[in-house]
Amino acid sequence: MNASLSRLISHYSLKLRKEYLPSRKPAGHIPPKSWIEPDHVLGKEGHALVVILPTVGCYWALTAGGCSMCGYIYDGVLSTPPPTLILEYFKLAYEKAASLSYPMSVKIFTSGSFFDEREVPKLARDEILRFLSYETKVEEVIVESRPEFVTEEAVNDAINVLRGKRLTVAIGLETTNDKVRSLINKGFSLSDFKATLETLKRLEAGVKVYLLVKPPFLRETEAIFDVENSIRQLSKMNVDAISLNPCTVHKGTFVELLWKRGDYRPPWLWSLVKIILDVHGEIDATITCAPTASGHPRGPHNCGLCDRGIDTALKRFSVTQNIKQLKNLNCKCKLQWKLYCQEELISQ
Amino acid sequence: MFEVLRRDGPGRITRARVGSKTFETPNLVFYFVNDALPPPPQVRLVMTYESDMLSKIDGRIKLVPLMSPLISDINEAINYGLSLGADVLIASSPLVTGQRDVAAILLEGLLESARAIKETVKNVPVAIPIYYFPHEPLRNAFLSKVSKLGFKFYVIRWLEKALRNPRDLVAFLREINYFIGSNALLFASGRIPPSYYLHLVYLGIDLFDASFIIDATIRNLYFFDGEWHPLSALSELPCFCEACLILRKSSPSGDEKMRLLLNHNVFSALSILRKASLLIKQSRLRDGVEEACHHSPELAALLRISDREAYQLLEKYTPVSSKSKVYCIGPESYYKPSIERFRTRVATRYTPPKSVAAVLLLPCSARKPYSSSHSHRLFRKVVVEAGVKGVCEGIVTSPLGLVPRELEEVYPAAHYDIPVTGEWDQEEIKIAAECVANYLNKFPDDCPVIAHLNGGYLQACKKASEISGREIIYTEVEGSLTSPPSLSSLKSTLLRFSKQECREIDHLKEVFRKTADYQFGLGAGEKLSPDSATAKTRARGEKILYDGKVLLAHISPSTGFVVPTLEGGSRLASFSHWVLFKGELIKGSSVMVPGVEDADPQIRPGDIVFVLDSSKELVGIGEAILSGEEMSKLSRGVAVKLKHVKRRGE
Ligand code: SF4
Ligand SMILES: [Zn+2]
Ligand SMILES: [Zn+2]
Repeated sequence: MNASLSRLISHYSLKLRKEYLPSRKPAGHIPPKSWIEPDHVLGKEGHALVVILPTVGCYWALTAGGCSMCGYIYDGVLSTPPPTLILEYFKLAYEKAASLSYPMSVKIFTSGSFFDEREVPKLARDEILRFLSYETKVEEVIVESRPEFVTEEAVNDAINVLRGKRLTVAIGLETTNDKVRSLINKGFSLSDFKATLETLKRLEAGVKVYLLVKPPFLRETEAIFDVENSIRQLSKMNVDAISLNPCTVHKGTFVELLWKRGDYRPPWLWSLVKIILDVHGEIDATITCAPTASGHPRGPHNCGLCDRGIDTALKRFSVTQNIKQLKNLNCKCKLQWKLYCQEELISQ
Repeated sequence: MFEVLRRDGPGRITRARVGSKTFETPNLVFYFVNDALPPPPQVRLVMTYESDMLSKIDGRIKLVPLMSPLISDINEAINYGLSLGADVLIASSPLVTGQRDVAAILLEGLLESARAIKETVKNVPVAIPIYYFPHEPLRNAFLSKVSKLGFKFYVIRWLEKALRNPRDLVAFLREINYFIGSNALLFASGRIPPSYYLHLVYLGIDLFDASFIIDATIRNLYFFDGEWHPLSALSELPCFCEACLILRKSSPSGDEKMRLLLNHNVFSALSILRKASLLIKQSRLRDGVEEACHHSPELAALLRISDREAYQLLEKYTPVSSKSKVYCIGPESYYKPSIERFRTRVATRYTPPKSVAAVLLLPCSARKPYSSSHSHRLFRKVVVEAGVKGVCEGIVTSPLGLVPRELEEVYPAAHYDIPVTGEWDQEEIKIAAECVANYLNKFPDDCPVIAHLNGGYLQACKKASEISGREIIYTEVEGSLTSPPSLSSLKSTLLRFSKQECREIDHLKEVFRKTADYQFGLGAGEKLSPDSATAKTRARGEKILYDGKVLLAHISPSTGFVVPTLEGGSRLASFSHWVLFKGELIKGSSVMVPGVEDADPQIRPGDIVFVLDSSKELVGIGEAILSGEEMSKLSRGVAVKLKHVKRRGE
């Protein structure tokens, strides 16, 4: 069943990409998006500068339809700009960090893989990292990549250029369950991830794992179970940080197709709280959860009255790692959520 | 795992056994979500997957859903469920979507798990999900495959989506019955408003879940008389249940208040299901459903569509008789299965007596049987005084259409009650006209037809004349039909058609013949009552049929049905309504379902049936408790209650 289902999902995703991709902007038209957010920087409270580089985007999305919930590819441009332009963009974005003090981290996102040279040419990669290696307030540089691009050589180069600053590679594993991941159309397995993890650990780079909360085809209860199970397993594998990413409904994705039919509801914010409360204390890894689009029908949401408060609490927890932030949260809808978790098991 | 105790239409009362526990349906499945919302005392079935909740519900029936095969291997899931003390396991699949091609794959996966479960789980019943898809081929493909696995318990998912499309809802339930039959419990999960319970029970649903009620309780809504009211808006509580008494007396707050509100709401929803049980026991479920129609246009539409598009399903399980009256109050009664069945049987099974001088059409009367009414006694007197022999009488009525005099005591002709005002709506006129036209066409073309009618009866009759092309002679009515001038016009009209060669019709014998035809099919009357047979009324009004010295049958005063003796029955036994018994001789006073080899699918609950042994010899006569289909398909319960049994050596 799983094989034919993931084939079908990939077929749908490809169709959607074909429909939506041509509307992307040509290279050089959008300045990089960037912003500053509070962050947990290597054990300390600090800030992060997030920079999104305009690249051609994730090859997996372009060639295989990509992951069923991912619409980041539409943020990309039609072709990758020349390295000099990318560096220029980056420096422009970095000006926002002028007001920040030590410690800060820089998160470089590409809507794909930082180590894929089709997205970020080697020259641009080196120049950006070299530029950051001179910034004293920067403690950690976080980049994202699919495992197949995290080669010994690429990581080694990056670490060398960074001259002692911490390099953390974030990988969208989504779940440790291969069956569930195959229905996300992720295209790699837990053992692929383990090999990459081993490389990163050996080279003493940091590892951050993204887990998808409530992928399609899982019910709320099952999703909670899946994430908690994944966290426990990852903790045993010594990953440094785990970021919980509640599934949001991106335009032009397979998940949106389900959502439009009324067959998919993004997770409740209560589920995120529950997951963290359940596993906290059992594990060493940092857990963060900074939902996007909370309170929106396309994002994780509760009743509408309590969403903002809980979103804030989750973000505060992510920065402080203080579990008190998540205790004693309450709202009338907490019972509705419990009911939903249970009835969905029988009636959906 | 269950037996059908009683039924009324597809609606039924069953008793199910799981392990050492039992429960009855119709019933409610409660979701144990949180300590703030504990299962109220009246609740018998509880569903949860959390072990700490499960430990708190000892003594009740525990339903435990299995984890999705994506999350856990099927054997692990089963073991986990069993370790929680599950009484019933609910099979799972990945979350299904309505996207057809995706759904088709997921359903294949579900079938795979169902097969694996069938192999592994032996002692605990497993409920298999079936989904309502708005796409018929998809759901049928699944139903046909899953039905072959022989599960006895199904969870119907997404039925609430079908509530918005009653035509599809009815079609879906019809398909479920077609593929799965009645040998499985049907649990409709999802947020189904309690106002739908009676209708859905009537259409064959056995169990509902409490999610709608729990959700409303969390939102502080109070259920009363079919409607939900914000608790804060009620200055006084209209109910006197235990919970409401406490709510009224001590005005609690917080969790305690919510718990009491939950108890009241569950109690009220359960009352509807209790009402359904009671109505089924009284064979009046249909009346309850008709009454509930007045609460909402959606329910009225649902019933109308059920009558139109699921007549066969409704009729198959509708008893042929009942101890209670048949109420026909408004248009929702016109197509009641019991009424429609009467019309159909008269149309297809009734044949007039051999030599008829004239047909006389008369109006119905409030009093039943008609012949006991004042007006009919006056009509009778006129016919006798006129001395015309061979007059065959048909009574025009609504909504039965036309009742041949010979069948006036048969259920439901003598058992229906309508507001008799003489004013008919267009629908009634149309129904009656078609019935009358059909009746008239059964008589030879040269047989004169006299109508002594007025008002709606007359309108219907004129329309019937148009439809059938038969000429009808109308008497002259002045004032009422029973006024002296009207009656004398009737008399003079009758006299015009007096025929010397016509003999008096042996009315009672015709009653036996026509009733047998009505019950068992055309031709049964001739077999049971050949020319040599005699019918007579004994002391205390008992009507009997005999041949020489042999008693053949009597007529049941309550149903008007012919009840043959073993001798009379042997003339009919292989004709229809046979029940093939596995053994030789019957012990006791009933035939149980496991003892039935096969049964005539024409059999309806309440029918008189002939029990045959393996060599097709008649060994008993009795009343069917179940339909023929159920007798051969169910696994437990009483099939036939016997009236006459052939004992050893007889
Ligand atoms: S989630 Fe990551 S790997 Fe998947 S399509 Fe999006 S960018 Fe590519
Ligand atoms: Zn809330
Ligand atoms: Zn009450």
